[in-house]
Amino acid sequence: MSTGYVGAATSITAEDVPALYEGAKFYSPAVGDATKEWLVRWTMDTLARNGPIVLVRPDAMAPQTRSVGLCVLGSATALGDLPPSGDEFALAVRELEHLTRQRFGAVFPIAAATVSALVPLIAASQLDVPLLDADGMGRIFALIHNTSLQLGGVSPTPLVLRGATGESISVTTQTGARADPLIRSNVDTLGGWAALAAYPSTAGQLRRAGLTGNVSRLINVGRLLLETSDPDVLVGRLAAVTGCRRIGRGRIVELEHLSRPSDVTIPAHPSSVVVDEVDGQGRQLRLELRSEIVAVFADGALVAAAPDVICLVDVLRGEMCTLDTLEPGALVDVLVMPADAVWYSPEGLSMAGPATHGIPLDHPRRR
Amino acid sequence: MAVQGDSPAHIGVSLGPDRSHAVVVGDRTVLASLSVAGPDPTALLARAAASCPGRPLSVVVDVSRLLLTHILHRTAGLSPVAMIRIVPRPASEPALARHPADVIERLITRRHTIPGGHDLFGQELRPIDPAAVRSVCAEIARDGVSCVSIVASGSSAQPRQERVVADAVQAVLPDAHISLAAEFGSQGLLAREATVVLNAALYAVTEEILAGCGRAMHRALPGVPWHVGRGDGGWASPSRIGRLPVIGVGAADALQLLGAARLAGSDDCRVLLDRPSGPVVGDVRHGLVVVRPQETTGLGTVLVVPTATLTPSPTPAPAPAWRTSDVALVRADLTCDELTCVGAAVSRPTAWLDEIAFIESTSELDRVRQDAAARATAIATANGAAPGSADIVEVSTVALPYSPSGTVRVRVRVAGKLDEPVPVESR
Repeated sequence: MSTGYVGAATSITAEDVPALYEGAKFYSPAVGDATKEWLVRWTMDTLARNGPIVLVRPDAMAPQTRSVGLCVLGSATALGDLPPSGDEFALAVRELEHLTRQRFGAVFPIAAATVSALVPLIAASQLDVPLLDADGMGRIFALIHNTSLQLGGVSPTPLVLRGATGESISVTTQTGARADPLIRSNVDTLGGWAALAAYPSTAGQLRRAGLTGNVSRLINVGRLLLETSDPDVLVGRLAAVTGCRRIGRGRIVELEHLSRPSDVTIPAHPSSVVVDEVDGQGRQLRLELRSEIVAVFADGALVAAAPDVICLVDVLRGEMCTLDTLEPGALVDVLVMPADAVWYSPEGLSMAGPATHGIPLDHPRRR
Repeated sequence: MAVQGDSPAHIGVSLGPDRSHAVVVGDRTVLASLSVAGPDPTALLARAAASCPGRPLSVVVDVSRLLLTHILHRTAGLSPVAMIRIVPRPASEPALARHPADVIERLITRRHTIPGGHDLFGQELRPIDPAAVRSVCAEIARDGVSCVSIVASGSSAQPRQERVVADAVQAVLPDAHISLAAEFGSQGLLAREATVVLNAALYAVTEEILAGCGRAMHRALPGVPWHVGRGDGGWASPSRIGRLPVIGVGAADALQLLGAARLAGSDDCRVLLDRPSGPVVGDVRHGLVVVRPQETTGLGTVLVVPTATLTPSPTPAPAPAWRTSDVALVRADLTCDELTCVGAAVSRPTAWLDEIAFIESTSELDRVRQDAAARATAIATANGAAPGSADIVEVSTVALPYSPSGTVRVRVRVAGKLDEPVPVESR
């Protein structure tokens, strides 16, 4: 496998899958590797059997081509303990086709990150349709309507959820924001995760409201991550490709729970991680978590916040440090990188900025 | 290697397919380092006993190199395993119907799926299908296998379905060894499956190895307590390892880190080990090796029993400064085999717990942590720690991303005490 930067891809082969997985983890470091072994193997086997996936930018497809977004909704830990039978995503698409009475000619990831970046490949292969090189988040947000598509007027519904239990649910709402609260409790009943087919749309709408190029960039970032385990080299190379920078390096000294007022609209309760900086200025970094890292305070000052992508590198292992395996004493690098520009617009910040996580402060990039 | 005092000694042993090693450790010193050809502990323990200044307090034996050799190269000596998955629906894709690691799959003679399963909180997703249980039991009885592994989704929270199936299998095969995933806890169906398959496959060969150790101990050091190294750098009783042999896998890596740290007199350090494939680093924290459930060195697949985290060092010695910014870097001048033995000699009984819980308040979190700590302490005692001697070394609770608010993952490490502290200096 080549480890060089290749730019935008036009196809994805089985050999690209390990890099795609690592890149997908970088853009959603919350989720651990509980699914890695079988998910990578399943994706590689599927692509080896059916051939490479055709990856098409939305502007290269006929604008009227019907497309549908896919993702895993729920907990990757639940997915790890309750793996799919294998037909959930393709069947969710077929059910949505039945519901909308339209045939989909392409699929795309609702969020090109974590496991949700890989399942559209499998569905594309099973359904024999192209994969669009675009998504709606450019990272992971916890709520399914927190997308550039919703900002662009594309509704997430009608949608279909399909669980590993073989059961399915379809939902149609008047507004996009109603969909998440309607389906979240069903996800728990289905075992903690479900295959989601949503955002029935056209390639033309994806071209206008989607975030183009976010699938192929995962492969490039993943190649960097696979290439080196030296965190200094890694951070330097990632900075060149993603624009990330290191906020600080330190040891985790405290994990706190229910550390901010909680509401039930966002999965996972508020928690905090306290990191004592071991290099540099000796600051205390306080990371606020809510499924993802949503803010970083350095000695009390807000230095990074959602929609920034904030992640941790395990310095010992030289790889991404996932939020479900944090432990006091671990040495970590705290990295931040900008999200897609759409998220720093007033509408974007209103949808996914720090205030949505109970932190009513101006975003550091807007001061 | 002069004796520095009259403190009783501990003996650490590492059995390997080609050579086996032992060290005698007493009063801050490695008193003797011994080596014999082959895996038989008889001559090695006799020589170790003769090198010991008096009756040793205990002997800890690492068998992980023997186990790994059997898993990778001598599978004919392992027991074939019938694998039963309990999930709501069978896999529709070939890649999902098997285990992704060939090292696991080749141990499985036949796979069975029984409809059933729970979620992470123990809520039933599908009731167990009695007709399917009867059918699978009939097939297993017909095949005549002696080892059966069972894994059910959600069984760490609710093991009832695994036990129902185990009881049914035992009824048709009374002499079968049955390995249940619920015995190991943790999450991840495939990692739990790999763990129970290896556990079942290793039963017979481990029984043979431990019987040999028992005979050698009886001959060379009658009455001296002996234990077996664990993958997390601690030890467990021979009977515990005999029942759960997979927890002995990977012990040599962890014991090397522990041995190097103790030689340096450090409870918190980074250890650089020279390996034929290049230098690797690992951490010791609070006197215990940093471990986690992960891809186990040499196996190439993830197990839920924790093993040492070893990372290739990007440059040869001197070690890069980035890895040692706030803790000491330790590089021992003993061989890896000697370090394994030193680590074994100074190791303690340990336990590890990794589970999902639900909290609604910080006071409830305290209760959850206390309950988990109590269970981990009970496991350490079952592993051989003297009752009342086990301490909580580490507790971490993290909010589980994308799960219902209040869901936490709790990990607890517990370690018992040696009869006496054994600080060690190099020769």
